[in-house]
Amino acid sequence: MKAGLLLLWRDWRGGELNILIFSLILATATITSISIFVSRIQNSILDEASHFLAADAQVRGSLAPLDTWLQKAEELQIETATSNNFRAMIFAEEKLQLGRVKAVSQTYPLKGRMQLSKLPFGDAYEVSHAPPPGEAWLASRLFGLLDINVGDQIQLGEATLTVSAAIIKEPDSPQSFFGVAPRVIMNIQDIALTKVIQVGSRVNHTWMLKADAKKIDEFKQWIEPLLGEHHRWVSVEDGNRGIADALTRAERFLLLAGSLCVILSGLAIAIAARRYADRQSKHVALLKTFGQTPANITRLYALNLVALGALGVTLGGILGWFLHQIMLAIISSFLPSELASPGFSAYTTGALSCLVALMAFAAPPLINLRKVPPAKVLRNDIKTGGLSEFHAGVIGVFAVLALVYWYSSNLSMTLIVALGGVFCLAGVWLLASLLISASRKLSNILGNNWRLGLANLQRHKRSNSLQIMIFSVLIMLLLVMTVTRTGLLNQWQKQIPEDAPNHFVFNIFPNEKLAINTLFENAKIDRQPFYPMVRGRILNINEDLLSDRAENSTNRMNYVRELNLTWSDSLGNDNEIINGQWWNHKTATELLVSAEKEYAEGVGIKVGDTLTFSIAGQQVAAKVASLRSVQWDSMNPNFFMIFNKPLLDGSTANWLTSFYLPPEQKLFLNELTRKHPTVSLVELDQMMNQVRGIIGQVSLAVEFVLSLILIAGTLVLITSIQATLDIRKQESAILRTLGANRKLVNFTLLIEFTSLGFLAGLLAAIGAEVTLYFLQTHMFNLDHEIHWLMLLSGPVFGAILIGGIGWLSTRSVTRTPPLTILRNTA
Amino acid sequence: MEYKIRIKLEHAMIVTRNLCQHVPVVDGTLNILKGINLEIKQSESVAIVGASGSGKSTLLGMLAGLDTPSSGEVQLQTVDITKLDEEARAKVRGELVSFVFQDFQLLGSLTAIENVLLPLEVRGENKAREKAEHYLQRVGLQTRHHHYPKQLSGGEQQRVALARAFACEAPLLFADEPTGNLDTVTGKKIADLLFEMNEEAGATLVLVTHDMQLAERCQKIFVMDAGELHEQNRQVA
Repeated sequence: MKAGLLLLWRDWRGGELNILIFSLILATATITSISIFVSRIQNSILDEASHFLAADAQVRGSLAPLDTWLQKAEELQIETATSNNFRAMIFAEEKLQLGRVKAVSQTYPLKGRMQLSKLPFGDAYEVSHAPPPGEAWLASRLFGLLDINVGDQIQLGEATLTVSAAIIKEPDSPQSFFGVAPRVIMNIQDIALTKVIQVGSRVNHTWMLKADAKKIDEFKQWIEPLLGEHHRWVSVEDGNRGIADALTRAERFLLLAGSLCVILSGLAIAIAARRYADRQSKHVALLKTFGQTPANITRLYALNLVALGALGVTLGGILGWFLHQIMLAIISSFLPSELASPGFSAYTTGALSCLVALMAFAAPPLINLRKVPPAKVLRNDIKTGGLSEFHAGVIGVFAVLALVYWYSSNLSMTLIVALGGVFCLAGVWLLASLLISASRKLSNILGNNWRLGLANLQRHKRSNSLQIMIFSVLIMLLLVMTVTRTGLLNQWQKQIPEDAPNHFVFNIFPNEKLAINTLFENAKIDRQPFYPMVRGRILNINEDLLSDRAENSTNRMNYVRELNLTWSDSLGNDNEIINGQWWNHKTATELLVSAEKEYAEGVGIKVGDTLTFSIAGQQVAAKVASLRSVQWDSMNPNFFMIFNKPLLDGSTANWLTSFYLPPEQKLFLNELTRKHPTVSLVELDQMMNQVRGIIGQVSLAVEFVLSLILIAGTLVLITSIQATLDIRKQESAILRTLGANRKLVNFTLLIEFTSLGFLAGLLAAIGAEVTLYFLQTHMFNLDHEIHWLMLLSGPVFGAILIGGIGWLSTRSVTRTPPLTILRNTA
Repeated sequence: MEYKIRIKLEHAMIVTRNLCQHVPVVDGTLNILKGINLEIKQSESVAIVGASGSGKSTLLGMLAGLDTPSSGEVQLQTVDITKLDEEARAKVRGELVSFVFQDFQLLGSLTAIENVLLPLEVRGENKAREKAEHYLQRVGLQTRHHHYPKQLSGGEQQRVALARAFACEAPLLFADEPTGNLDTVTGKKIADLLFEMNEEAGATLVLVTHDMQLAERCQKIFVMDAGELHEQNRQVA
């Protein structure tokens, strides 16, 4: 043991272990920092997204939560708040208006903050508590409708409440477009005074929960079987479809980034370990002449591996933690003041990944050293037996894929990355050999310097093929990351453009359309066209009752409710037909309907089925012509059901429109609601800003992680080039002793590396295109188109990157006197 | 495999019987060693000479248990090392054998004294450092303990290698072209030192060389020619 550690220490001191230990520390530090950073950003995003619920999770239902649930929550130390939601008439002197009342407990909101103002649509201040008993907070537009000001009193049932603030934003504002009436928030203790809730009254109970993810999960496991048909569990993901897709994509990107980081680290460790093992073979042969047995050699290097692993992982872990702090410091102005804590696994991911990579990549060549024949001290050309490079490579590849799967928990991503990897490993080897051979012919028509440089490429055909393979994989990963990131950012920017409609007006009666249009024109506010909308309920799917099918539904949608229905000739840009066909208005005579895919799948609606609707007391049957996917996060009005022609001649329809309103024109809403008190208004501007904030944060994280990957990749390149430095030094020394000047040697090295980079870049661009096709179409739901720019710039990028790094890394080759090199390598 | 090394002083230190080594080549088999029979007595010094590629180094590897023959026997003292597996052969080497190589085989990451210490630490010697210091002094490098190989001249590096070989105090010393990488003057000094120290140690010396002057300093000379070994008759002046 002591002798082993002594040897390790001497190797380290002598610089033998520098590259390996450096790769290990770097790999652990990179993965650890990315894991902690990503985990914290993800948790913060989730945390921020949880503000949409004002809690980490909710139990919603038509009945109050049971006492046993409250006890269990208390037992698990889960913070709770309750809100009762109902509709009631609000009176202010002679005016009255239907309002959506939310009576909340003192602890509301558990997450996020209320934004209030002393003036309707005025400047906001934040609070994180419920209104005190006897007070009420009102939606800004109610002030106009009821003709009141802050400080006035309103009557709600039998209770008199003082209006103490205007609501600018509530964290859990509903984003449903169904019959939106203006909000009133009051204290739950005042409900009894109002006497508006009697037995049989329609009240929605929301029970909010706040705790760490583990406790919430434990509680969810416990309560879900007990929920029954009157309650349902709502998590952050369920609570907001708008940002769910963006979050999922971001999460996948970050996972992909982390996984690629694992691969890069594995590569770095593999290259460094191979070099170390190569250099150790002479050492081992000598030790064997001193009487060291193969078993002792195994023990010695196993001990070295353990010591190396412990050291690399500890130092790397510490460095990774500091690195993540630096990342956070750099982008601190974009982050919430208090970032969520990382999950425990974030701390261990780096260490475990590197230990596995060390065992998979470094252990085979090092343990293989036991097979080094002692006669190698006499003849250096004796081959070492044992595990072949191919088998060691296969072990490494499987270990990395296992790590990627463990890290991402995503089989598709693992397989796509594996596919790209296999293409690069197998195809590239073959192509690289062919291209290197072809370059020889090219060298005949070029000058002497080129001939020398390309001859270098030719001479090290085997090792250069291997290097092209490594460079290709590396450049491929970098290209994949860069292009995916660009695609995602573009997608997100398109998702909520700056001038996207942020206000919706519903319940516009046909006779109001003209007046409302004039109002918009006078205020010079652009609005979207008026869309028709009727409310209706599905009764039957063919012969089956919807309620029967809904009972067996696997998704969590609420099927037993009224839907907003519309009709249209044209399909929205954010809708895509998945099955069936959109109608041709001229040929369709029967009533057709297009159903949203997820809604349809939940109750088994298929193209060709007949749906029976109940609309304004009449039954209407329509044949399903198509199923559509809907991009819910587009913020445009979207519908589960679209018909091909007006329902009931359009007589029961009211209309909706949407428009973009800049913050400075918010007072327009006062005028609109005063002149048309019956229309319903939804303000999405605050929520959209919140979504934009989240997307901005995620984009930043994505950018940052990409730059880290680029740094890690560059370091792998340097490691890989360093690994060939010995042989290059020796060759350059021979060239120089034969009369070549420093300039010529430098130039031939530049040609060799630039050619290597060009070939690697060319192959990487092809590999990246294949991988991107699968990633974009299968993982990120993005459209795939051929990336011509990448295909053209890949080889140039490769030539500049590898040429530059290679040339800079090998400058020492010509700086060291040839005699010194030849003496040391003799 | 548990193997107990029998160390029993007998007259013959190395005995080979019908030692053959064949390697497959493109057009058949190449016979490197063709039935070598050899006996080397304790404390004897023997030189094996021959042209490049005649099989000298291969034979040395077989005799020292660094390599295994295609057929035949090699006995070190009374142990037939061809019957042993690598584990047991390594133990035999640890007990009986030390080496001096043409290219010194010093580890570049270790200082002079650490290179000498290496086999002693491997063998678990108690007074390893004292011994290492003693032998470095013996080869005249007492002031160069902490110098790395690249800071030493070729002659100095071979002195370190001699100190390392003799520090093991093994009964058998194999030297493979020990002056092959040195100039004539330095080579002669190293050869003098080698023979002096070997005489002091009383070890059996097997020296492979193509330098006849060096070979002449051994008690016996064997000539390796196309895989066959013949003892050279010494003409006493």
